[in-house]
Amino acid sequence: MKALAKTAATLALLGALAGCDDYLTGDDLSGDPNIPPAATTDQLYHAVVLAQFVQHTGDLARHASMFTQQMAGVGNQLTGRGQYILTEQDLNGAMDAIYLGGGLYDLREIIRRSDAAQDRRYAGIARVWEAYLMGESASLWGDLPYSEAVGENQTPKLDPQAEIYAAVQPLLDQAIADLQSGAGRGPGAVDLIYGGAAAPWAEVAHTLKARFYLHWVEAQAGGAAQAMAQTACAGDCVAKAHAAAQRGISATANDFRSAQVNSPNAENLWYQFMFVQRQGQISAGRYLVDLLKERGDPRLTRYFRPLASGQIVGADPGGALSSLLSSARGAPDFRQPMATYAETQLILAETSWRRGDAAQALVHLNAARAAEGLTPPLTGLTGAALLREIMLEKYIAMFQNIEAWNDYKRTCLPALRPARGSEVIGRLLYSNNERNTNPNIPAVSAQPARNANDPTPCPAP
Amino acid sequence: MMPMNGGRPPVSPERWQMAARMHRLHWRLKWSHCDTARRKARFLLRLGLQPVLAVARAAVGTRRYGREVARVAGVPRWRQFLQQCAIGARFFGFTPDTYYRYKIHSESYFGQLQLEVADQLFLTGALRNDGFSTFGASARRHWYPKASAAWEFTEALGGGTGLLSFGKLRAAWGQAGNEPPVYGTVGGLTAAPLLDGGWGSNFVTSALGQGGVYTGLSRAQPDLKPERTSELELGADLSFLQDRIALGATWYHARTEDAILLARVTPSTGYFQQLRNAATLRNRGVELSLQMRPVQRRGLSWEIEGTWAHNDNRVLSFGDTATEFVVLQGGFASATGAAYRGGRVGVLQGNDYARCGRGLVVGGVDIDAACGTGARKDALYIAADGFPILDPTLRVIGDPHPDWTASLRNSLNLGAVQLMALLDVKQGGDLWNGTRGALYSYGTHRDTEQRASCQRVAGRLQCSGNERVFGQDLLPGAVAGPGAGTAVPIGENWWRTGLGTSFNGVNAPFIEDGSYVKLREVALSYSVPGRYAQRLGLSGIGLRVAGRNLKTWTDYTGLDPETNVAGGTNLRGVDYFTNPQTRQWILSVDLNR
Repeated sequence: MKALAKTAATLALLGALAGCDDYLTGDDLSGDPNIPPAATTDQLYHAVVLAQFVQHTGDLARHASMFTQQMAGVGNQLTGRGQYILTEQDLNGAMDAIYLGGGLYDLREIIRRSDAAQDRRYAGIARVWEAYLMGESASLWGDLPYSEAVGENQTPKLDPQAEIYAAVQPLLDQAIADLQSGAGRGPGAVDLIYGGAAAPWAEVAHTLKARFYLHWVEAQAGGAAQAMAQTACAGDCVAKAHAAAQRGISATANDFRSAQVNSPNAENLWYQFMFVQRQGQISAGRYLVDLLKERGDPRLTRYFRPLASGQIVGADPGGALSSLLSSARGAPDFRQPMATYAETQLILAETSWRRGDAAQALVHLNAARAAEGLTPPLTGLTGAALLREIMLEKYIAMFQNIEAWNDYKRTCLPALRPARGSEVIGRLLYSNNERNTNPNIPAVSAQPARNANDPTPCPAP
Repeated sequence: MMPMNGGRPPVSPERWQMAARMHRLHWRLKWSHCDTARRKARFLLRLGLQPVLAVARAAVGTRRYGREVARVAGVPRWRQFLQQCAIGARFFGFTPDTYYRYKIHSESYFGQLQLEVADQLFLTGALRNDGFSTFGASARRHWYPKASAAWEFTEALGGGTGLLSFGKLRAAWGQAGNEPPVYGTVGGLTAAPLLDGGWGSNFVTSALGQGGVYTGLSRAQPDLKPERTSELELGADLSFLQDRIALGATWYHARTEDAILLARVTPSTGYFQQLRNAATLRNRGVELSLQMRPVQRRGLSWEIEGTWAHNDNRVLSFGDTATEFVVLQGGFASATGAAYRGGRVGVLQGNDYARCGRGLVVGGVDIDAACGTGARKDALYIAADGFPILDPTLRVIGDPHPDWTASLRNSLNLGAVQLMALLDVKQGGDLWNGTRGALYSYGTHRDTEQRASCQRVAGRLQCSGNERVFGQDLLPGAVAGPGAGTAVPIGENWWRTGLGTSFNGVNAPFIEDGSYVKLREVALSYSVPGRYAQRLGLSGIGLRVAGRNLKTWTDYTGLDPETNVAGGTNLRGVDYFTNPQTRQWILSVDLNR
């Protein structure tokens, strides 16, 4: 009996103690001591900018350079990638990074905080980053989650590509207005590109506007996609691109370039990939090298270094290891150009040509050539020959830039011979991470071969 | 698997008296539950004339972990190298200084009653309450019951007969919980490096002299509760011929609800993953064991022991219906591990060639239409150029789970000498031979010894020689499509730049059957007679020579079907330049005093 009473008392005590939660909660128990509890806007901005450098100068840029045969995939997994052999897993990280890991989710937070603090300069700069991210991404994947992304909806729908572009243009207009208002402190020294100065950022915004208008010029020409071009540009794409580019980046000193230093894990990503992590997998592409040699272009030695034989050589997709980046271009602290004065001039050259003004086009072409150190200025070019010259110059100037692929898709210049099959690859597959959890993403078999702004495949050369 | 309580031998009266004394002693101690402490009490109760042993235990624990990785001046380079290897950093890379720590508090209470009836029926019932700080606020503490019964039915029949000397039936049912990884309820910011596509290139967030912080990949899960496994186990232990033959059989069925998985979240919401009580899993199987002593005499005995087991696991559902699979850690880039709804936990997923009958449209081509109506299902589609094409869709390509496993052990005792041999058998279970896939690309695998000669002509690879036909001598099986039956040159165009290597996306052809029979161990041991041992002042000396992993019989073409690149994780069956099991010879001397 005594034992039974004691049993009962023990159980009662146990019951009472079970209700006490103090032991299971506490500072290091309910909160993770390893993560920062809060971040300043500057800290968020710095991480986001680094993430955007990865997005625009990393894996996507390497793939675009292989697709346009500026570089060649010559080892391990890259032999297939340069021949457009890609599964839905291969670039899934790049698509996921649009939204997470320093992408749209954090960009929106910066914009939110800046708007609340009425720091228009900060908000303007963040808006430029968002527009750049979404415009580039829409050019690669086509339809994407945007209006419902990073919000309450757990399975955002795909916005049509034209609507994303249509949303990006007013976003850039808002950014320009914010930057030109003169209000706000901005990121200051945390801005690694322009040190927080508003004027160059506004110029970048204009160049991006022009670039994104230009993406719809092919669709505007005619056919089913014409209506979508109308949505994307809200008017004549060529005229709008021309007007925007005239207020774009005004000098090479204002080029929009990544910031890198020769310090571990802060170096240029091409350097990290080619010389540290994955040696022997990517090297100079034969098409670009042969083009530079044929034109006697000084950028041959600026871009590439010779092999042991003393020759600068380019490889075909899946070929043998060829020339690597030059010591200047392949330097750990080389600042990767993302949007440049030369590009802006070449956009103006193309839009002038499309408006029928060959003379003006030539002026802009020569301005771009001068900015790249090419002499003497060209004369006497008109018609198809002039467009070809403009696009070849742009192909060379936009070395290692995703934009070279967009230029090819729009103009079919330079006349590349597809590495495999009858067409150069037209778009990237959706990330399997997105497809696995979001029923709005179609299966691989149901995804189109090209994006809406690129209706016509290029003819065989 | 839960421990079985039925079948424990009855507690003698003397031990019960001692238990009663212990109960008094423990009861006097002050109970302070915020200490790190264990308290145990045993009670002797009576249920009528029937004695019942009761045990109550409380355990309150703190677990702390801290790990610091820092660059310290004056550490010799060889030591830095070992440290960097230990934490997985590349030898010539850079590791930012890290300091990681966590703390977990747990609180458990346990009560058990044990009853023995008529010397043959053993009943146990227990109840446990567990609380962990790693669960969500609404779900910190939970109850787990269990019960078991064992009946030695040969006692009821009046003791064993010559034939059936011992027989026991047992049944057990119980629930157990599992705690989640630490800090799953908390989300937030991170300063982790920003990765560039998984190739190794990355930026640290402190690059360029500023500190960067961004939203982490894991969304917080404030409602995390324990996963709960309910298991029913039935079994029997039988001995025949005066314990010359012993047979044990167990059947179990375990159902896990609210299994904690790092579930994938739609990336366009801004997060990549979230710990969730996401899945319902089922494990069921059979375990058999057999022991025989065909010869048992003074100075000579022979014992045979065999076991056989089969387990089937299945994902019954994920919490939401949208998720088709959850990726598991430990896989390789082109052969990732996953758990599929309706399938097993830890299958391999990757890509295959385009095949007929799968409703595929690849590069604008309707594969089924191009295959034609007479094509066999899953026939390999051959394009007009005579080669297969990639199917970019991710699918299950292999299942590393074995159909059954078994072992057989023979021991022969001859006086002081013992000879033992152990065989391990695994039947079924796929492996991904990623090593072969890579060696094809390098051209160093024997299969690529015969090759076409290839040259680059106008930018394209032109090959001639070594003509093969897909479906006949290369990837044998059914083929269909416009190029079926065409002989094509096979060389670098297939093995390096084409789809013949696992680097270029197709991994289904590198899935192989990993069944094996292994001579796991052969050992010879000798007990030196006592008189020799005593001369050296010892009570006994034993000598043993053993060999382990002596021979493997398998159809697997890699080095060893028992490898796994990820080591001990949820996933197995991935072979990528992994080392085989080592063959060992062991000589040991035991000195006993």
